[in-house]
Amino acid sequence: MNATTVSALNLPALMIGSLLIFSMITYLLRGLEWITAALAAAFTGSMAIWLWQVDISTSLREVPFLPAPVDLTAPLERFGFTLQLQPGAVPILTLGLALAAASFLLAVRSSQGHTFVPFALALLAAYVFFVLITSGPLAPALLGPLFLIALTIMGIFVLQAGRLIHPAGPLRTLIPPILAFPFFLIAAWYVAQIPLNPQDTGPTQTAAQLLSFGLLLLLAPVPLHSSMPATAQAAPPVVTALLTLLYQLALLFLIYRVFSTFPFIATETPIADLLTFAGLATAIWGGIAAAGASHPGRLWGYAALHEWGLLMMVLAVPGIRGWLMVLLLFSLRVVSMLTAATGLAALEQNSEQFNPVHLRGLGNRMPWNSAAYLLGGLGLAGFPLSAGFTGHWAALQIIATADWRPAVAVLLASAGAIFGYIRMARLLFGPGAQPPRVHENPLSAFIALLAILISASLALAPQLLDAPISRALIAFSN
Amino acid sequence: MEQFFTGLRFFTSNSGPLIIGLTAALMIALWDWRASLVGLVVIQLGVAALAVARQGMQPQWAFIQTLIIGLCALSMSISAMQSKPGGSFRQSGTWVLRVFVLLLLAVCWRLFDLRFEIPLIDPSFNTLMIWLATCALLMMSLSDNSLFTGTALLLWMIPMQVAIIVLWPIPSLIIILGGLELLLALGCSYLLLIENFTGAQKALVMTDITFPTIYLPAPAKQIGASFRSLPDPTKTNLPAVKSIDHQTVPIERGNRRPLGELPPRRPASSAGERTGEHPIIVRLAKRRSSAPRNESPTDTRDAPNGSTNGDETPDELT
Repeated sequence: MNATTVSALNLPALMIGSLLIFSMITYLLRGLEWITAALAAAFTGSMAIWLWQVDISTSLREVPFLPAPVDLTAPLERFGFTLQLQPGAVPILTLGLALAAASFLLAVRSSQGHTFVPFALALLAAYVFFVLITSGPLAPALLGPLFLIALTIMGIFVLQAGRLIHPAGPLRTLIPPILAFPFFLIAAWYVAQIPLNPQDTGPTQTAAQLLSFGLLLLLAPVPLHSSMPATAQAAPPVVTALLTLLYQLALLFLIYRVFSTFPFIATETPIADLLTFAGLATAIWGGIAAAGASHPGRLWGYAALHEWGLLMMVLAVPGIRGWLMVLLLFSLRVVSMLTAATGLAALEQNSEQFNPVHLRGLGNRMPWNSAAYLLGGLGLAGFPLSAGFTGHWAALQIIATADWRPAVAVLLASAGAIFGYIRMARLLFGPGAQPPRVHENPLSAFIALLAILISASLALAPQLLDAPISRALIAFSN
Repeated sequence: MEQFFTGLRFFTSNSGPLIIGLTAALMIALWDWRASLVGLVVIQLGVAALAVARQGMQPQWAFIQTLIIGLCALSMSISAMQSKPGGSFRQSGTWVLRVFVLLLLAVCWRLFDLRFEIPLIDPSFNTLMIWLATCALLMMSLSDNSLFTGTALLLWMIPMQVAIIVLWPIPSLIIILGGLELLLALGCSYLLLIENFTGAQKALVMTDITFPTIYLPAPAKQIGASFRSLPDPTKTNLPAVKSIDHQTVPIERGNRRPLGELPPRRPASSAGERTGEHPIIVRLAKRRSSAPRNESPTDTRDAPNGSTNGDETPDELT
């Protein structure tokens, strides 16, 4: 062992430790909200860029401002768990950190609660822990739901953000992971029995059934969906976008782990059919409910639910083609949700928390933020010339190759969500007297314009995502 | 430790599982927060005693799990004592409806012979665990309240943790589960306090699948009124501590009023009430009109009664 190896910093310890320390510092300075948000955005953003550029095959890597090089592949062992950076974890970590950086940037402009930055950083550290686990008392794929419970419980404090409103959304987020975890742990016992008697297919079948059911519960299809619209209605928009996307990203990673560790699930259970039916029900209900939603936040939540249903259906597509579609849809979902959150956060501040009286005609005073909200929401419904259109169209084509009827049903449900947004656009840009204090400040308009430009450029040139998705796909197929 | 659980002999008798199952059913039928939390602790005690007697669970683990559920119940009861008795505490229909649902569930269970066998678990104990899990699901489906949902989630975790301890007696796993239960109780206690501040008002959303709820207006209550042993603050020299009304809570940036609630009303004599204009417009107009007379627009020397008349309160400005 040479001197360089001894002095090298351990990457998992460095990432988790630095996020936690930064979280504590920002908690102490939480009164200076926009400063802490800007610093956190710079910190997480630079960490995401650095991580995306690292070559994991070279063990040691210099990092600016650090006295010693970082050992990228060094394991960290604590409490029976081993944490190590794997190639498959890099895109997940990078996307998570980039998401957090974008959310902190948005929080610079519109407040998401004093404790948003410190709590979100602590939560991010927990997500990093979850992604980096390579071994534990049980297989990481089977322990995943336990960590999702912890992450969800921590998330309710951020989602509620001290707001004096009924906590239905955060409360309901707790239900799916808590319901799901026993199925994974009981399945682990059956998995352990498989090598004892390989001729007996009973344990394999039971384990596959338990895991399939557990995964379905975690995906929270209809009727377990109600946390998404309730959270979108009540929680701060940027927080909602960040936590929803982080949870779903971690869940997709867990599903990838489960499918790759236990390939017998696909053969022993009709998981593809279950995912298709659950996804179809979710997408249809999301579209129908969006058509009837009059609250901007709830409408956004239902549109996101509709797209989540489509994503579930795409998960049923076997092989690398399915994961390619999942990554494309999720990437575009990130852009659409953050674009909508940008506009929604500004609208919320100027409409007395979405009081219908104050919403009327608000778009005439705040055109850029209203446009960002509508464009982001329409992207979730797969409207043409929005960011989500390419993903929806490609997903529908793939689904239609197997059976055209679900694709048509999803298309009709999308029309329902689009109808909801047309109603909202009529409300926002229709006649209505707004008090003179309501106006769109230049910084707010600029950020909304930037979000619209990113969304529109991805709508016109989705090939911009080719390189990142290809790299993520290589990592996923390892 | 073992003596403690052998002392709970009635739980390990043949009627023990029946007592525990009935306790879970009573929690739903009564739908009272005290009954729920006490029931939760009783169920945990019974399940732990049964697990020690029939599954050979280590008494130390059983005791720790009982202690954890006791702490969870304590944490949630402290929050519940601070809460107003109205609101979503009283949701989920009448006791007749809940008893009917329980009976329907029991009949369906017997009729369709629903089974889910957990490996290495004694059959009668397995039946009890499935009944407890079913009661937890029913409680969750009937409730949108932090206390009852939290109780239901803990009730769901009680049999599951026994199954996991039997299947995987790994200390770190058991510690993680215990930690999660405590974290869950803490989170639900926080949400319960928040719900208390909202005045138990919630808009009814037609597309929401929650059990239909009629929210009753919550009466004002003094903090500490539930602690009968404490001296009456009105009869001592101590200043009376009133409960924090949602209109007087300092509203931070990002805070909002309860859904469906209108902004605080101005006094009947104010200009905004007469003209129907937004209070802030009226205030701005008043400032403009008073600006030539005063050196500063924020000068309030000419305000009625020498006060600001509430116009410059921080919650309105936010």
